[in-house]
Amino acid sequence: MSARPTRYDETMIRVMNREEARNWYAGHGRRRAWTVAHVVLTAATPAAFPLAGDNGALLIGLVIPLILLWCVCTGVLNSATRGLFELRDRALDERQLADRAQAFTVAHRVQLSLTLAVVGGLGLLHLLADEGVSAEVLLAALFGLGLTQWLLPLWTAVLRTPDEPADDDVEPAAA
Amino acid sequence: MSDKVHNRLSVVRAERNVTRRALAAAVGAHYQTIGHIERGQYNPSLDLALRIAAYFTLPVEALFSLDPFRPLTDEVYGGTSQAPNTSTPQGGAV
Repeated sequence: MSARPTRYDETMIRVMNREEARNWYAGHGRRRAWTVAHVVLTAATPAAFPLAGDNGALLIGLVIPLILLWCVCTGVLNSATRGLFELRDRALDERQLADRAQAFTVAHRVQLSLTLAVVGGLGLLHLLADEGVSAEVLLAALFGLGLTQWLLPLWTAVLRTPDEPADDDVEPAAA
Repeated sequence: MSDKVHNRLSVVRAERNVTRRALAAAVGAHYQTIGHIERGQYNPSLDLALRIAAYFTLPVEALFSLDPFRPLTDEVYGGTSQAPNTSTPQGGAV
């Protein structure tokens, strides 16, 4: 760890390294399932707005549970990475910093492919549709790209996280 | 360039009765990093390797090596191990 962590850093380190939900994300299969759930919730939450239309009660009924579930899911993903994207540099060690840099690199490549695909799709739509690309479609595409730009590093890091080392053979000395 | 650094960290840690968390706290690393080094999933930087060696007051080559370690009993008592696979390192491979 590069510099002395502040009290805020120490609190965040404790929060991100809580062991209570360790079994929730133990194993690649579970981490993959949580990541898929997070992707679905991330896509479903903004999709609820056009689905609900002018019905305010339906909108609230859809969005609030989705956001709450999304928050729980985000917490699990952050726990699975031990706060790789929530902790500051000074609160991470050299392996964690290397893992984070690797996740950013992979996410950047995927994001570039996604951006090219979306731009290509919009261009094709512009050529094929009589009225061109509507402002709503353009905004939705930009919003979607913004979300992936934000969350792809976290998803990548969770999918790349190796299983935790087996429990320590050495027992802590009695106080 | 070799991408495999062998280590006998888990052996020395068990011998000195030091937990991963205690070692991690002493050398400024995450306890999982110690586990990943022991499992051979992460090669520590020279800085971290030297800090770990200093913690155990051992030369760094006693803990980390580019070649597989000989069993400790062979090193202490001499001779060659009778184990069927003598190329197996004492500790994990980094």
